[in-house]
Amino acid sequence: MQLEKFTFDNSIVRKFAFATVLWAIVGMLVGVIIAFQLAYPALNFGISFISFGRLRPLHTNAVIFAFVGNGIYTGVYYMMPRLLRTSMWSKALGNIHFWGWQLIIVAAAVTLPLGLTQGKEYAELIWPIDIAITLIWVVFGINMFATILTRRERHLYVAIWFIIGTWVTVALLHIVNSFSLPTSMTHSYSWYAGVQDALVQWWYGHNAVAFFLTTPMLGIMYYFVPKAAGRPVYSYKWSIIHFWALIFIYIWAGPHHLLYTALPDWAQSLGVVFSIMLILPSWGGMLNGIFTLRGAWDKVKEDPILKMFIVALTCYGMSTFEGPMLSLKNVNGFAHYTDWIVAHVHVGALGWNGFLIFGMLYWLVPRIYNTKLHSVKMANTHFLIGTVGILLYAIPMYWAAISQALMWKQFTPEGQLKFQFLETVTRIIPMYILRGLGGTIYLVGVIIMVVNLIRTAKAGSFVSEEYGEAPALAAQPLPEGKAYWHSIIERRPVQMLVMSLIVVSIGGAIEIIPTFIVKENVPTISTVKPYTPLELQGRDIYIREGCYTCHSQMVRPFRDEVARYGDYSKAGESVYDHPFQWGSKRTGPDLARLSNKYPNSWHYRHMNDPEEISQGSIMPPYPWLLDNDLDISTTPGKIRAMQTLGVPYPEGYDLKANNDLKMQADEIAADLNANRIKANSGKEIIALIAYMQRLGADLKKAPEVEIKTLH
Amino acid sequence: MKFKNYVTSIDNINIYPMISLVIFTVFFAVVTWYVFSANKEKMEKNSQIPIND
Repeated sequence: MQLEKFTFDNSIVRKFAFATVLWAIVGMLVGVIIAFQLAYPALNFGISFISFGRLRPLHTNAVIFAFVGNGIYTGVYYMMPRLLRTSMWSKALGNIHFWGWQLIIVAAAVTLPLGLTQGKEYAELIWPIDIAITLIWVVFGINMFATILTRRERHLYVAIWFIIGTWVTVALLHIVNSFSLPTSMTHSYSWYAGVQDALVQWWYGHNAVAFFLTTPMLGIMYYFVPKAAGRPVYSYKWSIIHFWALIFIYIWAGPHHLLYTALPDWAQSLGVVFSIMLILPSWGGMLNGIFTLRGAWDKVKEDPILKMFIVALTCYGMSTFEGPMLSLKNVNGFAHYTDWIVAHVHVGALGWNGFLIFGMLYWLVPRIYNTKLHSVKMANTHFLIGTVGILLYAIPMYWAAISQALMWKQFTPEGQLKFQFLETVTRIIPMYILRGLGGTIYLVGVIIMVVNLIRTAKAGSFVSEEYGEAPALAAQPLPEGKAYWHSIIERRPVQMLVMSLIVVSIGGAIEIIPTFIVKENVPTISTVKPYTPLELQGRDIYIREGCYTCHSQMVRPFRDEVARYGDYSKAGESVYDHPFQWGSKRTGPDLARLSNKYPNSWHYRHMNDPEEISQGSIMPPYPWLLDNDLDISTTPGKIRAMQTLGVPYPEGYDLKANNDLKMQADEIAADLNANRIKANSGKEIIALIAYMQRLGADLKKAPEVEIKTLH
Repeated sequence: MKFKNYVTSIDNINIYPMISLVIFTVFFAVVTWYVFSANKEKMEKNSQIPIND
């Protein structure tokens, strides 16, 4: 057979590897800053761009899409041509992918601190960036599939399946969740509202974890762990079951983020059942990875790369055990909204994603520089302090979560809540400090790695291209014997893509379609009315400042929550909420029943300086809201957008809206002035107060009773 | 009224989780059956792909 020659392009791998470490440092540094902001609110400095609510989305987006994203591409561009025995199809598309992705990250890093957001977790980026992500993802897909189609290895190795599954599912998730109606170049409203928005968002949010932080990582695991160990994966049969079971089950589990909320019960139960089932494929995959190192334990003891992989797989096992446990309704009722969830995701992010990527970089960088790692000792140090960092991060967070949840739920013998919300926060601040230290230590480890890798690169000489040779696929004979249906799929990437799409669509469709049918079935609560124009503007400020990162708007039907906040939340309440703002974490108290709890003057002072009103509060101050003029030029456009989305404002209301807005603003300003606060009715704070005083107000109103005249 | 009550007003709502369970079980069974009936040598060969590149 005639052998064909081809090249492996290492320069694209190097670019992505460089971006990976750069964004790792940026993303984690922001993480450390916001961790300390929670312990020392003075670190918010009263500056809008660096306040917690705006930096937290920057941290999550940077770590997920910039650090892990570039890590995935590094792995993919390295392993894919080698597994397929061909060059990547197009260098140009590879470069467009690289630079496009970095531009998206830079755009995110600029827009998020400016408060330009869609207000949905891990999907905060504004609509033009969302479109850019879609385009670049398509570029990546074209390059990947063209490479697969021009391969010289008939069988697609399992790592490739995971990447195919990732590509198709992330495309589906991103497009469905990002549907929104723009009102300007930087602002849009989610297409969905309330219950539907919540379900779509957590179908997306959960599967962003599944298909961005897990399946591509497993692809990397199935390539780099055998490579580093010098032996094939423990069981190739397991890996096939692992793949199909994982992508099939994962897609269903999203509703476990919404237990005890106003989401329909059947959807909650479905989420719980599939979450429990997830243990099987997750642990199958984890054990498959760990058993690959069987009989090589002597190597594991010395090789920092294998050590990193072992800790990564262990953390994967831990968080995929913990995840299903947290999905049990009784555990969830206790742990949700606390720092438990924060601990859980960080075991995954720091341990599984972080260590797997670090291990990959330690393996890969010396190879593309044709040298040995500069210092194994430094890598071992990194391993050690990284592990300490993870523990010091996670343990205080578990501690904080358990003690806070217990305090939330405690009643005195007289039947009163024992602790004010603020007390439950001030008690756990020492844990927040320890967590910040844990994160800092972990970051120091990363910096040690960067130094080590730079020295490695300097000591070696970069191999921009490696050469391979293999016979053309057409020249290779088909294997003899009967071909099973699956082995046919294994050879046919397009069918693999279609099958993956079908498998993930079934889960998505069965979960989501009924909730859209439910739309007709969500009972309209007669007193729930659309927001006034001023409240709508105030709500957009609430979203802009990222209030949802610390405050929920979802009272669960528990004794303590009803006692603390008020009547539990109903689905019909949020029918006009584009996007929903139920939140997922209570660093501060729930706000669903905030209306009339405090006077306007309280809110005015509290937003200016929370500590002045409630001593020991860790909420950042928002003094700029008192100075910024409310931009009312956007009101008509926003009203029209809401009308398009089905919010029943009267026809032609867009033109009258600002009159109503000014009237309501004047009323609030007059009330403030009566309370000796010199407030200008044209400021942003007035709109925010209007919104806060609306939260839950509709439910407190008596329903309108039809008056019948007696004959 | 609990939310459950208005969702139950959708016709045959309970069929959704049932369909999903059946599809999954069948799919899982078929994949497992394939995997265990597959050619062992071929599996070994496939698992060697990353080692030999």
